Amino acid sequence: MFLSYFFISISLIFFSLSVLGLFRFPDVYTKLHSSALSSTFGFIFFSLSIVFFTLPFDKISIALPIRAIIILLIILLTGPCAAHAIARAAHKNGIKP
Amino acid sequence: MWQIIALILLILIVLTLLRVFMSKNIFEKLVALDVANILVISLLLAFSIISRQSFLADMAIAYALLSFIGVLYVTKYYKNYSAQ
Repeated sequence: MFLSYFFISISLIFFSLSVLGLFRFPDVYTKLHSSALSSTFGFIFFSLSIVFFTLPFDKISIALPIRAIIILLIILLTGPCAAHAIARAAHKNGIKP
Repeated sequence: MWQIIALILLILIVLTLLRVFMSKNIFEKLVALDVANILVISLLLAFSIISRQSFLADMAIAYALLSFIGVLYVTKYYKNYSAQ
């Protein structure tokens, strides 16, 4: 239980830093750098927190951590692909980095 | 405890959507929408823990797949758009 709250505090700090970076950075590419912070470290620690919160597993409560791990794998696969697509479309429109 | 986490995530989503509507360039709006999608997925998982029902986690899986496809098609639509 304590480890779950420790991980969720780290995750909320990373989410807040990512949103702060969206307000303070001047360009598209630097905002992409800030967006990747939320996509990787914020959601990894959020999913770890859910796994440690439901730790004595029985037949009912194992349904949530399995879905959380599946969502984590989906986001880790599709997050860099979406960031690359945004950067490629911005570069083709002539926005100078 | 998880109610406070859901409240903080709601405040972050409102700030990110305010960034979406206030920005001028179309790609900066798209980056802010990409962050808002991940925050909405986290909020769905937090609601799934609060209400002790696991169908909200299934909706989070569907939302993750559909948000990726949505971002990909918006970038494909604005490929030849001359920005400013």
